[in-house]
Amino acid sequence: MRTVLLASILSLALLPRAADAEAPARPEAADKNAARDRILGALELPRKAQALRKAGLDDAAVKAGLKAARDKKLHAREAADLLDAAAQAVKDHGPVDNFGAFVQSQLDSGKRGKDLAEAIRAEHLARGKGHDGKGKPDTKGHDDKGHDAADHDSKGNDSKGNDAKANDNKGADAAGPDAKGHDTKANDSKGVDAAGPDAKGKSADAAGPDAKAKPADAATPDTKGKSADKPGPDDKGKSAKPDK
Amino acid sequence: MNRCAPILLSFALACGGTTAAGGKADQAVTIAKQLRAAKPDDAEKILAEHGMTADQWEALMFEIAEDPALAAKYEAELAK
Repeated sequence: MRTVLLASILSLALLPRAADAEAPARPEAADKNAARDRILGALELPRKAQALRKAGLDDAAVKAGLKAARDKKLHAREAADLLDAAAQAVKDHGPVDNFGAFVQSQLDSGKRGKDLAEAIRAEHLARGKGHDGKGKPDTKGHDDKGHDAADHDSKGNDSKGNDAKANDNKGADAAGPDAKGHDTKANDSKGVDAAGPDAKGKSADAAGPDAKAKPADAATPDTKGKSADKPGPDDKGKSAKPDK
Repeated sequence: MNRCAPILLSFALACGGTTAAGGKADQAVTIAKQLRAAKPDDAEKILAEHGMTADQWEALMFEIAEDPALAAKYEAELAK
């Protein structure tokens, strides 16, 4: 009986020690997980910074935001989340002035994580230089790009227009200016094409050889108009024969 | 010769600086690819193999993120 009592007392005495031995192991595991998350989360930071730049925020503002995060000793993963929220907000409402100072002030006030992301969204909604903060999906920057594309298109620079479209690909509004740009292109090319058949209809034979020799000049209706009397307007082959 | 020396020196320093920055991006890309390919629990081990702590890794990521050229290089290399 004594031995049983002794054994039970001993076991009770030893149990807390065993628990104590396990206790430090848990924080170690937690630390390890935290370190792992920090390391893997940091992987995205440069890419998120690039995404924010591409969204329309200038380099200085991105750098200022990162500096604010660094000064407040945010982990790289948290900074990446911050930049991600900012990129989305810039896409939706346009960039704000003094982004770095704003982030600094929010971090100073203790905001982190979702609260910080929400504050960034609210700031861009209120002061974003996009569509008066009314929630339309595109930014001033994108509109500018769109106009550029249209300008280039009107000048006949197709590749620039297409590049601008490739960069935009954000929201329906971006398609507007681009679509205009392409329309102008289409109209230009159609203009040439349309002039061809019309001119052919009027000018018939003389238009045939001219059009063959200089396709770009097919829209020169004067020469075509001079020969409008001849029949068989659409058949270039027939009209070419007599010229030879 | 005396006139050329400062110019040559500045060129050398400029090239050296660029190389050092590019080297950081290359190092970051190498580590990042290994981290992506490995098990998450091996993250610290991989950094240790490169003589780096989690704090140093984060500092490197901040440094690259702040530099548009380095960030672009990092992004492009990781996308490959």
